[in-house]
Amino acid sequence: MLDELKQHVRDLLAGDVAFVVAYGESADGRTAPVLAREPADADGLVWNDRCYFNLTRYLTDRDVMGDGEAKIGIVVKGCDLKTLNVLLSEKQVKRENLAVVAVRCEGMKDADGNLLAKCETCTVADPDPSFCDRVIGPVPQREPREDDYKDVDEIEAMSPAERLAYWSAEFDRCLRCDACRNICPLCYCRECLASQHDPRWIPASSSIAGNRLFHIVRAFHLAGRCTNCGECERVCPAGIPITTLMRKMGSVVRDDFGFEPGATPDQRPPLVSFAHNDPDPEEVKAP
Amino acid sequence: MIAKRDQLGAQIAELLETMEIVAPVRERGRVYFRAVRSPDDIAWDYGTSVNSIKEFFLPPRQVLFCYTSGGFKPVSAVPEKPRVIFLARPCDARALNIMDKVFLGDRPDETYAALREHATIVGLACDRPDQHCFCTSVGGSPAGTEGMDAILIPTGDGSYDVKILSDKGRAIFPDVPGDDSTVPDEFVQKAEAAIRRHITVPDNIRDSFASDYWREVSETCLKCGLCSHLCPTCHCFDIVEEGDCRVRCWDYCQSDTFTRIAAGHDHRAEKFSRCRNRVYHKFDYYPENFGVVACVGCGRCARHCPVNNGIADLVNGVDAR
Repeated sequence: MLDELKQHVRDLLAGDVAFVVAYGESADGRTAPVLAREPADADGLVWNDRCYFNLTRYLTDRDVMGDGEAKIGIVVKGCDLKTLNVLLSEKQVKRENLAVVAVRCEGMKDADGNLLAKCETCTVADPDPSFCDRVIGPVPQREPREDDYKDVDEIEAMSPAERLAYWSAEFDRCLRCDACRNICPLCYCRECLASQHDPRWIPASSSIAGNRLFHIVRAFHLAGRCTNCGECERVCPAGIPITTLMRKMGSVVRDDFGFEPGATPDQRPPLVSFAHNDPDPEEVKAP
Repeated sequence: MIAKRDQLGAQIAELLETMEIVAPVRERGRVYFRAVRSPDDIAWDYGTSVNSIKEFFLPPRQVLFCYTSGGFKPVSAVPEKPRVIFLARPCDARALNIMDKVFLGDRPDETYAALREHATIVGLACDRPDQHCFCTSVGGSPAGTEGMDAILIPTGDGSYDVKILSDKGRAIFPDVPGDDSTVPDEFVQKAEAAIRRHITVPDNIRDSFASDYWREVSETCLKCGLCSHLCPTCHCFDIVEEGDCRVRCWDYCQSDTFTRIAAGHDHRAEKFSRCRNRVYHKFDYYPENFGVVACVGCGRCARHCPVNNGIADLVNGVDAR
């Protein structure tokens, strides 16, 4: 399987593809994102249960992409393909410039060897071939369990005062290192609201007011866009349960608009489009 | 003097009446330095902590002063209670001495100086390094005592050999005889042998300034501030206005706004130049200005990097070119 992946990447690089964003090894031997530029670079690629990185993040990285006109390749898992679909529907990437290499996936594991939460409920382990140029690997055998949204329900069960206390304590831990934002493939704003100096919309310092605003603004901006890749929470040095916030926002958009972000590359995201027959969430919910 | 963990715990409980005690605590399976309410909170057997003790001297947010229509209102940096930081690793304690070069030089920084003065550091000699630790490559030692007022040397079975290193340390442990403050050779040798990661800091790192190396190694960097925020020696800050107050807060050199100047020009706009700057600040500019490398080999940048890219590898690779 890995040989097939390497050979395919080698062929792409021998052809008209400038580089391939893939999984390889860092200098200290850990699995890491790499950019393969020469056919020989394909020899160092890896595929294992530590390939949790969502590589689509690099598709909007201007230092990596330059003017974005070159044809490049990218290795994706089924879940990453959803993010790619969002990027395509938001016109951030040109599909004709991409060679999408999808890998069938048995799930990713954390440092302790436990399957990631998102992988337990994954329904896209076998990527839809119509969205990719090549699908590699044996068909996954694992049966997903149904997502019970227990994490969201636990917080919903709290009183508003308890909930405020819960999130305030979480946000109080935030260092404002921006790792969650910078690893997010859909946080591609050229100038983030949180970084603007003048006017300073969101306090720069790690303070409860600023931290709360930062996370709330980010959650709203990703509502109906986030594909729950979980990279934000994985990298958070404070261990803030960011995905719970994102999953809540996603469930609201799904309930009100019947919308699953990343299902296809030509979706119209509900929160940035308008239709005369848009449901009024308040009316929908009225008995 | 050998002290048992519960003896030290009882002493900490007593100190808590008049002092703030900061110590490693376990939160969600990871260890952080936090103010504790009880000695029971302390993670005595921790290996490495996510945050360093830097934030107790250079807080992520520090109000410098406030101003209202009534006038200027100074804000004291002196903590309400004197603070004891327990179980700081030698790398983190040594990092304070390195930051002192900037903040306690010709013009001492008042807030930093106040927090330094009111803190006592009780270190913990390190017998639990992981694969990212490389303190011995940058002038440190897992048994080092730099920056500490007292050190606890684990002797097994939850006991510690307590050594006094300063008057502040004596004030915390008045019963410990002060004639012996050396860490036993046997411990030093064993601890240093346990450090598995070794890097070579090149003498001529400046020669690589224009090398394509920096473009190659920074390709996957996210330009986030995780490494800087967890780094025990990164100390760059921003001064901002918040409400009625002037506030000093952490900033980081990978940020899109760090080097943006008037009219929007950014003289380190490209990713590679920011990555290179972070390495050069630690391994070239700092040694030139202060005679010491601004890295203590704690390994946090590598351990927590979202894309598994650490400074040890960045520095080590320069020499290979």
